[in-house]
Amino acid sequence: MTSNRISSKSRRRFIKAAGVAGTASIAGCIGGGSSGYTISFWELFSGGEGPVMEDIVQKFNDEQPLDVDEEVTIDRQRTPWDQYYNNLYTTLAGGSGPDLAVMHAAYLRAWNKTIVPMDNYIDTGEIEGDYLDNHWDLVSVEGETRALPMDLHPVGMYYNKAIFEEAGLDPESPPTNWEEFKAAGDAIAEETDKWAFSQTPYNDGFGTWRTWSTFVKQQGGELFDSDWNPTFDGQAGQDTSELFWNMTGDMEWSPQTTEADWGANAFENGDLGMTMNGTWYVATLEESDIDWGFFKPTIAPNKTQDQVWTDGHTIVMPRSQDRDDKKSEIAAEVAHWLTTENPEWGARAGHLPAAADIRESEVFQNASFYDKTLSKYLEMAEEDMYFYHPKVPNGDPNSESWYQWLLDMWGHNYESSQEALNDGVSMVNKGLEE
Amino acid sequence: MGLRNRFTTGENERAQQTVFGVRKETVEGIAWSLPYLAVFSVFLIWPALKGFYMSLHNWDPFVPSESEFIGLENYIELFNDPVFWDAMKGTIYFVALSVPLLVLLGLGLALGVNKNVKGKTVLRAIYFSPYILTVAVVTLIWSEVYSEGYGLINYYLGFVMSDPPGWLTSTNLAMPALAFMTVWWLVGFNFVIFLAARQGVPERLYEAARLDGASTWRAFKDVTLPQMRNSILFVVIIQFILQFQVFAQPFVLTSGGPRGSTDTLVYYLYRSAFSQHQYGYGAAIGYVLVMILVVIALINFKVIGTND
Repeated sequence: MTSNRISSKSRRRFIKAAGVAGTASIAGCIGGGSSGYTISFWELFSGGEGPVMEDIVQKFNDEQPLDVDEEVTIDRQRTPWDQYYNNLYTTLAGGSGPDLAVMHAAYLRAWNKTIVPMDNYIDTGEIEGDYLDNHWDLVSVEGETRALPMDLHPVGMYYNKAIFEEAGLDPESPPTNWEEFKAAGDAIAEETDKWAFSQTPYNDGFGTWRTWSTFVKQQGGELFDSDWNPTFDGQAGQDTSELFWNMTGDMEWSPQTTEADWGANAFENGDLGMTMNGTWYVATLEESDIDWGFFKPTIAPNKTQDQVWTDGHTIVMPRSQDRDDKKSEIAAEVAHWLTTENPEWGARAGHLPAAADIRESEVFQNASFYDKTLSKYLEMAEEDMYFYHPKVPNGDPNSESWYQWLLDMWGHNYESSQEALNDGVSMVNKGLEE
Repeated sequence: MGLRNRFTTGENERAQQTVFGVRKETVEGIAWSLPYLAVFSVFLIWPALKGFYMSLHNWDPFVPSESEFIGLENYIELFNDPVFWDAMKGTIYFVALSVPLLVLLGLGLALGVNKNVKGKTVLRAIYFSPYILTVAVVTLIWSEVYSEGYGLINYYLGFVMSDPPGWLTSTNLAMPALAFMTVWWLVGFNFVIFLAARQGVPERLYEAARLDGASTWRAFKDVTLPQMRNSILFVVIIQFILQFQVFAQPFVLTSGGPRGSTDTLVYYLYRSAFSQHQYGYGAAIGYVLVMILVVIALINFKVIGTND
């Protein structure tokens, strides 16, 4: 146990708890004065991403990069992720949203009523080429460009090199398929007193879904049909559920626990061999003492296709009763600048930036973890391996309650994996109700 | 004529003055109450009415005028919703675990400290101190205490047992763990109320009891309890109302899990309204909760309360 064992867990808990205490305030929006414009911008970045976004906004305010006569200032307001969407939704319902807000792409369909399509204020035909195609697809819903894309943040597999070595594995050639992954996990479970694998460091339902849906898709499964009925309980879903059940059962890869942050504590303390998490995990791992590596998570058994879960941050323009057209146009320009001119968003926060130029930029390619993670994430992007987190028409696709069954399955709080899966379909069905 | 007479005469005269046929005293009373009534109406009555109105609709927060009126459908759906009933059961279980302990332990501590024990001032401070923490801090502390692999309790249990339990991850233990934490946090409030009440009981009653040869138990039953009845009623009702609304503990520590074992009504209300955006449904849950609380308050008055 090292001193950093408390950090990640406490931070996450504290964020949630602080929200409960009501400290997260809701700021009103500041209108444009005669001498310039103040663009209110809400975001939700914490951990390693928060300071990067803070620097980006600072840079904008200092350099005034837009080609307009007025002074434009970004007024950034950060709300922790746990509270962010509640605050945003409530404020939008009150008709007084900020000028710009960060929104996960998964919300762009269900929250359509809350946002103004970007096409209204910026010539999207002209800027489309600034972004990579798959990012542009991410923000296009039903023929509208509803947001400007900022990044993709897919998942990958992080592993502990020391534990690999202890288990008699080559730490420099991590698994590339199911047979190798299975062999590595078994070796860690049998040869060391460490745990082999955690489906997500956070041990939460949504984190589990990222990994679980990745495995399902790789086995040819579908998550929803064209009418948004859940179909993830097909053969691939059943097989993946059975596999997850066994990982904390007979395979003894992980304890049967539903404790929040179990994997984060274990991995960051050097007690866990492998865990699957998003691009953002580098910020935490770079601060830790462990010698970690990374590999592509295309390792499901009976794989028929390479598919990896991703979602992306986008910037939307929320509806607002008191923003005039001129200010909306400037806000759209600000969103364009934020998403295209800031390679640090990849180089320091670990995400795959949406802007094409950034991929070629020196800042991005000189990132300390470029070879480790970014280059591999990029290869997966180039090979079109990413599938998007479902943009459902109603409800909250990031809601914990949609995926609690996955965590309870992992913890063997059901009689069988099938019972959990049945529960999952009914929970998601209920969540999708209008 | 003394000062007293002059004063009362003045009062009577004033009371008999009228404004448009209404006694001046009444007018003044209303005027003094108005600021409070205004705040009360704006922040309590109006939202309460609006909440009820919402509960009768399929509420659209963005275009409220387009919300569809569905009558009691939300309430009917609620009664057929297994998650609601699980949350109800969870809430009742939490209340059953926490409220008796909160009351009895608070009473026990107060009576204990009221005796001439050594260091009672320090004890009072210790008992009361958790109460001043916010729920955010309390949950943070206890997440470190309860953690299965890295927690304080299991660190020590690890010396005597090979596989200590997961306090927040066992479907059997999670709710008792939340209740225990809550008692630790809140018992200080009851303790202070009870201590004040006990100190308000005239010593002569105990002297009289002693002279009559009453035992300690008899004195407790026939002097202490009746004298403290109003305080006990107050604490019991307050604790029922507070604990029925338990939210932050499951929200922060367990997300209602494992397998729904720590789900509660207010947490379900929160999820329905703020996560699923089913505001009408959430409002209906809120109204059912209010009904339950009213009934519980009435029962408490009936059982413990007296006419005085």
